[in-house]
Amino acid sequence: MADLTDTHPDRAAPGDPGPTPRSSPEAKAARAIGRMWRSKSVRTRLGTFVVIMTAWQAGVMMFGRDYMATPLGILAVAPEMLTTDAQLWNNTRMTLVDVAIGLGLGGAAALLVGIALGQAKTLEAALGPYINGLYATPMLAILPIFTLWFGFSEQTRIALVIFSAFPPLAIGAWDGSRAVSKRYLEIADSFGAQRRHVWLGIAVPASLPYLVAGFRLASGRALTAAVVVEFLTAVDGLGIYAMTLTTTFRHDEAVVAIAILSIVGVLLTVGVQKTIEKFLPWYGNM
Amino acid sequence: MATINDTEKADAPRIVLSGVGKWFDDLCVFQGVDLDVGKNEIISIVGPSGCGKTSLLRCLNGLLKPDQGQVLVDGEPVLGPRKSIAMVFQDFGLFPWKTVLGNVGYGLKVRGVPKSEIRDVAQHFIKLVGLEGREHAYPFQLSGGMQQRAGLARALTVNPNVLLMDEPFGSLDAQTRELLQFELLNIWSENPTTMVFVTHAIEEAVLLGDRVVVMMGRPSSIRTIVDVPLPRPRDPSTIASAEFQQIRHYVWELVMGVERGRSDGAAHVG
Repeated sequence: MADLTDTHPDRAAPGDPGPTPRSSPEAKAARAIGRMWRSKSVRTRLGTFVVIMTAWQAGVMMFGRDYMATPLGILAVAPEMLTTDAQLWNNTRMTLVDVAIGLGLGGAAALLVGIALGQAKTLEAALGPYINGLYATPMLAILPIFTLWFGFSEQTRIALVIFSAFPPLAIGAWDGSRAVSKRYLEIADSFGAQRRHVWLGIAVPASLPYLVAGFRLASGRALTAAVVVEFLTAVDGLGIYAMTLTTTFRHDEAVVAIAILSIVGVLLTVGVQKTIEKFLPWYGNM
Repeated sequence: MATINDTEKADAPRIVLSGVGKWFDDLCVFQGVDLDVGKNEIISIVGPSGCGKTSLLRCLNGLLKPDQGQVLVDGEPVLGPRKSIAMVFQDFGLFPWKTVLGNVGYGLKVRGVPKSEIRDVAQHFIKLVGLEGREHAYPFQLSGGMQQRAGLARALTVNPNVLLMDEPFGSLDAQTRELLQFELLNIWSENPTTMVFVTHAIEEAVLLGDRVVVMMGRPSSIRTIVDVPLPRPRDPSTIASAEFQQIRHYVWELVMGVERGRSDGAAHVG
């Protein structure tokens, strides 16, 4: 280390331990941590996190250990739950499969309807108000009808997920395809493009930012819908599992289950964003 | 059928504009435009901003419907976009989500040409405009000049009888612009076609055109048509010639509204 300091005297600031060899991975990690630590926003976030966790832990220990989870408690149960609790993963799978099916079906329908609404004035006049109405309708209000049709079953969960995911995505696709720049339409027109070329070849890619925004809303609503159905109809899944844990005073475990839902929600939106950026490099350069 | 018509109309003009006028609401943009454009002729249209050059071009393409008069291409009225007419746009008009290959092949794709054929034809014209190796680049990864090369290649793929150029080099820097002007002339001499070139750059208009149409007035109409009897092929030495400079100056005076005697001998007034 000393010779390196000698060869690069200008890099050795007073008090600096001196540059470490560039090749070593430990040195790289140390530099990365150093960089993060020097970043003010990282320090702020870390500081806030520590304060909140400490207050949470202390508050619960002082006022009611039986009624709430604590950070240390969660940390204690999480590893074992995540590695050995077959029920947890079973329930997670059941909920997520239905969320995926519902998002897929609802999303595909929403894409078709939304693009059509934005491109065909007559259709927009005819159906627009209903789509807006659907968006405004509280999903819980529809649940009794679905249970009447499908019983206390997984179909009810899928149905409510579709019902929740459809409107925001349809409205996103609708706004997006209505906002397609006249420029693109003119170019298509000048080459004699048919309507189907315009819908699929132009309206869909041009409205992608709107679709992404719609999907963000839709995925949150879909997860909520799945959990709500489980709460109210006792269909097996992660939501009802978390509720059972809570009602049997296993608060720390319940938080682990709920955290999986949150993480899935984040992964859905971030995942879609990252996937698009990776595979559609033009996105963000439109 | 086409062959009979072709022999019959060997000397017939490619484009005939008769009494063409266009209104936007109550505002008349241009009126009484009469113009014949011959086969493989290059017509430049110059005029001040807002004189309706671009609207006239859109009427030729069928993107706009004239409110007065008639636009005939190959003897048939233009009622909407047509296969034999292609356009190059001022802002390049590329789809940001398509690669160079996808953009260049677009005109053929909407015509239902098989994929393998599209690729071959597109590849040929990509090479012709000097974009070889950039087939898979997206527009945002290309300079303005390269984007317009792609725009030109896209128009050429459909083998147009009429190529409409809407200030295609207007947003490029001076050097790129000059480079592309000469490349366009080269491409034209290899693939001659009828071209209507709208520009506000007088030098460009004279360099490219067989005739330069000067549009003036509000509402505007054709003020003068200036013959450009410069020999082809034209190259950088053309610009240096005295004759070129004379015609350029003459058109410049017309566009800038400098009154001159009608009998001015610098060029023929049609």
